[in-house]
Amino acid sequence: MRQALRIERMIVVGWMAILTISAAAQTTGQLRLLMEPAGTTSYLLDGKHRMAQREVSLLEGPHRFVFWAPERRMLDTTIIVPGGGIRDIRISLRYSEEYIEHLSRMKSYASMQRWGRVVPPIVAGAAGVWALVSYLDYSAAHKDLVDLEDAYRTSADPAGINRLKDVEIPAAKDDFQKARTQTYLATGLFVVSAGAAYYLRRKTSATKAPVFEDKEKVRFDGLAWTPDIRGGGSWTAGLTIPIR
Amino acid sequence: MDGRLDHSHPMNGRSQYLLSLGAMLLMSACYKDDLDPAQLTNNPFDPEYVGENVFVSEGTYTETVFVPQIGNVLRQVIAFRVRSELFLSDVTYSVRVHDLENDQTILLDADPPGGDSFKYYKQNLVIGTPVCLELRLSNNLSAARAEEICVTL
Repeated sequence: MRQALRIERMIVVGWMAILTISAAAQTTGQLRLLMEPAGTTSYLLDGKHRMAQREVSLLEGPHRFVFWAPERRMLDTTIIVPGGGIRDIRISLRYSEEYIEHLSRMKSYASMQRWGRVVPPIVAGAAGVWALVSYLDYSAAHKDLVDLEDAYRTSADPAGINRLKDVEIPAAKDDFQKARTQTYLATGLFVVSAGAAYYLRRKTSATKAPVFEDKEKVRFDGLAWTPDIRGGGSWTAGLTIPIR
Repeated sequence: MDGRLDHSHPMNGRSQYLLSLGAMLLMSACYKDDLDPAQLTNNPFDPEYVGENVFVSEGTYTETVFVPQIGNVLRQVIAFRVRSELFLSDVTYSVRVHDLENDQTILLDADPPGGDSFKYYKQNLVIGTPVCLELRLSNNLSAARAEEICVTL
């Protein structure tokens, strides 16, 4: 019986010695994470811990990291932590395809808004100014004709009357007709461009701006596993609802 | 900005714009291009004047004038009048007289000055035969339509 107790005691002491040795052998290391974009990048460590700090102390050995930042693509990688040392890791996250596509859509939208809402009113305004200037020219040309008619009535200079009838009145009539044609053209352009501006303004107003849905974020949120004290756990998922 | 909503009807601005545009077009349409130089023929100073005669003969007679160092001279006076009521405005003018009998041309001013009566003097009397004058209103060395008057002493 005593022999049995001695053996049992030796086994316990032996186990304790093994545990102590193994604990002493597993040292920690430090990781210094230089993440781009800075400030908004977060990561999931070993599928459990969602973190954002730049420096982290871990047991030496491989650890799984999943990095993510808004508008960026997730980076799933394994980093080996050196025991007792510090390791600098530089992480640069690429823009996600969805975000690049969103930027392209935003560019098209902005271009459409600019061309649809800004340019036509400018063209219409310019056409309006042209129409107004043409109309003033037209009025001046008409006044010239009236003045020449008055000049005919008040003139007592036969040679002057001849010049009036042969040169000045035909020239003034020509100017008048040109000014009238230009006024009609400018007014027509004004009407068309103003109509186009109105139509495009309505059309662009009805077009909604593209909304960016960060699918990478949804995927990243879905990866977070939160262990509970009973050994179980729960998955954390995120849902993005655009609020306008 | 101050929390109040703009309740103005969106058509108001457009209506005003269309109204002003329409007014502009209407005014444009009102300008007529009906001034035709060929139709301008009612000014007596116009070489292409087609109205009533401007010159009216007031007869002819003789008068004796004293010319220093020569003595008394008999001359023929041909009087005529300009119908200034046909003028379209108040103007000053002269009359260019072309004597068809001797082919001489002179420029006459009104006698008395400022009036519409003119006198043409011929030194050589023409008795019993009509004397014809071609008359034109004149200004700045140019002359209007020619009219002819004939008188017999």
